[in-house]
Amino acid sequence: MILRPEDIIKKLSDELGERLLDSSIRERYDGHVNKVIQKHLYLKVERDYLHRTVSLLREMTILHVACPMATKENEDFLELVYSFTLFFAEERFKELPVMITVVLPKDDLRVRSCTDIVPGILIMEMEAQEMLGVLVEDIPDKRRFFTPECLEAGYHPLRKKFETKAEEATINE
Amino acid sequence: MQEILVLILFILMTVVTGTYIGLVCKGVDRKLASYFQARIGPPIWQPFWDLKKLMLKQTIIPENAVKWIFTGAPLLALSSSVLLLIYIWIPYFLHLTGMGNAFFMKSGDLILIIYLLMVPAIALVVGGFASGSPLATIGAQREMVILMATELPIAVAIVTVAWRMGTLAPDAAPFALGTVAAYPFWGGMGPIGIIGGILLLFTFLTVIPAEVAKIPFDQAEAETEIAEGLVAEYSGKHFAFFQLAEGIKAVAITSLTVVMFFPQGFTALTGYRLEVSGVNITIAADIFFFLFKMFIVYTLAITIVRVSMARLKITQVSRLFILIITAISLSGFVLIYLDPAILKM
Amino acid sequence: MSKGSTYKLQIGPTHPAFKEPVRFEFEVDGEHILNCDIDMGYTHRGIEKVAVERNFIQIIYLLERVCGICSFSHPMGYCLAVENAADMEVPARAKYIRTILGELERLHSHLLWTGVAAHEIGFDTLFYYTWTIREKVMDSLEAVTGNRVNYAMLTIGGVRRDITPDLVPMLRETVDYYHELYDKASEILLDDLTVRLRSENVGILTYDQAVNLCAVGPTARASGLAKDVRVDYPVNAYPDIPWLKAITPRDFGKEPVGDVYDRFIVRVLEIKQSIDIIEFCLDNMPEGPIAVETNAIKMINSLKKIQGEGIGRYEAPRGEVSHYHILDNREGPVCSKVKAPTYSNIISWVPMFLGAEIADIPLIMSAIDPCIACADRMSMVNRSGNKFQMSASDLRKLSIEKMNRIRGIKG
Repeated sequence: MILRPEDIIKKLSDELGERLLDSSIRERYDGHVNKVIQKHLYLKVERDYLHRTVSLLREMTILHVACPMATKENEDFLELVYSFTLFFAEERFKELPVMITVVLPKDDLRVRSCTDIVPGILIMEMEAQEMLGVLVEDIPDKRRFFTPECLEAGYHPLRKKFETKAEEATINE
Repeated sequence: MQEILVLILFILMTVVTGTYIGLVCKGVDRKLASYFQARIGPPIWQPFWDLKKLMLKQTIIPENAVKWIFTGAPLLALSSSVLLLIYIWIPYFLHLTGMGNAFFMKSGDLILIIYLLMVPAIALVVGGFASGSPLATIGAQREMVILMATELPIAVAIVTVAWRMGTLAPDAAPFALGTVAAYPFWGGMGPIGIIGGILLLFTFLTVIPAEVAKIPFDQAEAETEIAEGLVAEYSGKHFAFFQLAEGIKAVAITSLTVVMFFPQGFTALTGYRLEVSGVNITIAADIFFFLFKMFIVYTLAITIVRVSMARLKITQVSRLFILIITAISLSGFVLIYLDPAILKM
Repeated sequence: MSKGSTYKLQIGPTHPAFKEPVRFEFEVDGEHILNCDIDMGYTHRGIEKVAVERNFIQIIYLLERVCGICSFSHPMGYCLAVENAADMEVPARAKYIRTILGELERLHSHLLWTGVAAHEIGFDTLFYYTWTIREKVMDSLEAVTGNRVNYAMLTIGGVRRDITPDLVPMLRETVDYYHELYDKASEILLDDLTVRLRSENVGILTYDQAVNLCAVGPTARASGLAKDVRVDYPVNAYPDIPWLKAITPRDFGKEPVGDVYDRFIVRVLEIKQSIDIIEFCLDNMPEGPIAVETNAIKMINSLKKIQGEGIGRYEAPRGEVSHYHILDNREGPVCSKVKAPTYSNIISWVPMFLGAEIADIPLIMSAIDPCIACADRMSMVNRSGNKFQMSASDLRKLSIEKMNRIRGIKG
């Protein structure tokens, strides 16, 4: 059964109540001869209710992780944007991208792992741990994946305060 | 005394010619294969240049290797391949020239050849295990499996041929290569026997790529899987010896097939002899005919098979040889055994 | 084989089977694999960090170099994301040109993969044949874009160069060439006995595993999960093609098992689909402008006024490419997240390897068509089992020492 975005928002707000801080639907058109409307669903939930939201979405249909967590960083907060897609297999152009934003205070960067609902999110959470310094609780594999083990602890490349620097390469040192 | 000198001269000539022809065959095989693959490929003399380059390169012995085995294995492989070639070529050429020689006619025999066939492979295995690399260990294990799997078909084929010699020529030594060359295998066989003979020939042609480690049976040296496995740690002159040994062994085993199944020379087939001042020069035609037959077997069994198939897995290979090819060779034996009885009926 | 006799086999980072460095650690019993661990990070270039310091147009060229084979897909995802964030409407002609280029890239990538997979199983003849056939599409790409890889054809809001009428006959000739060759090529690839012996029932990924591990692309479609971004999410000219569908082994008449042979089938059938799509686009190409704005500076200035975020999704030859870009009144995005299809398929390697043989390792590894992009370091394990890592400066020091040694020997 194909759910419309409006129905999904209603279902989530029934379950979560006030924890669903914000929701919006954006539309996009494509196609030249055959015009198609594609909707995108944007949600904002409280950090502790992310896991619940994701499991509710998983109950609806096949949940697929589209993109690793994007970040918006300012002085006090770090926002994580999770990108999922809900896959309704029955008709064309019925995949619904769902973006969930959670806000983490900078002195308490942790979020609960969703690997028990969608095992495929494991690598993205490992990357968030090493690149952003976000502690993902209950993650099955705590090791570094993309960065080497000899990298100093506390060095999280994708945070604003770590700038890239170029080394001058010379032959005769 | 003079006989021994002539023999030593023959042996030296065999070694030099055998090496040269082994490398030329390798080069022609690569050139033919590249034509099949829609590309130009290396020139025919490429193996010679490769060998020369390898002798010039630095020989590195890994820290983990057992040094005396590591350096000894290539020498063992080369010397046993050369020995194998001598034992196959010299009796045959002695038979062609009509110069009987008791030493080779009675003791240079097929059973010794079965054992000699195994020695270069064992040298490779031992060299692989002594390399101290896990990939070489895997390659050596696989080579052992192939070695064990191909033994029974070869043994059945050779015993059948010897049994046939026993019925065709009761006075001559049945396992001697000279006998096999003198009394062609197909002589006096009925249709059932010919089918059996074809099955045996097929077995032998299947065993050839396994003995020389070419696709589809080159699991020991699989380039993409275990990075040239067995010989992964060899470089420089040791690797050159292994390459030479491989080339010579290929010549040896294809010559064995020709001697066992198609030994008739040019003179025997056409009955044409040309004598110039007492020296029979159709011997040269015989030798070229032999090399031509050997080259055909080489192309059929090694080149064409190598370009038209993928590499099989070691479990599939062992199943193929131990079950299917053994069954084929045994049925060949049974058919040939029953053939005289059926002919009498 | 006794139970306790397992040993650890390290394959990688450099190995003739791999085109890019990745390290596997297998626990092996004889020839059977019991356990598998993956370590990546060998070609990480920190592109997302670099992207934050570039402006909008520079990022297109940066993202092209994420991967050589799918070098059209990453800028495509990026442009879609930014156009999504800025609510930009792309002209119709640009959409069709983008589709043609995308399908040409898919064609060359699938032919490359078939050759690589054939080489992994030792079938060099197939490798040479498919790569010879591939030259035709590389010539077309060079004629249309000027380069064999890294096309630099995209800009935000359209394409940079037009497919002029004098290029069309050449593209039609390419399409006819592949139409003629296709039946013979698919017979050689799919009906050969030794290929099937090597690839059937190897590296199986079941439907449920594909769903849970978020597999994408031909890897997922071979398991029966019919996900294809071209069919699920409207991009470019794909909505106009009525017969477009996600290809699974059912189209070949076979129930999907999820082994390597199924992946062969999916990719070979997709070659046919690509040729048909290119023909459709050439037949129905609309007239019109090729970009919203051709001047780069004006484009950057107009994007500077935007604040928002956008997701861009596209079907690369290997699967779904997803980009997420956040724009915040700057000359470039504030955050760029790039997800290549192999990123999603890495975890699928683990269930595929369990129960396989060592001989299957290169085939399974290349079955998901890996295109790995990470950082360069070197990891070594010495005899006592201690691991130590060498960083880029260590490697540089070692190579300078070696050079001095050689210079010392020479003079």
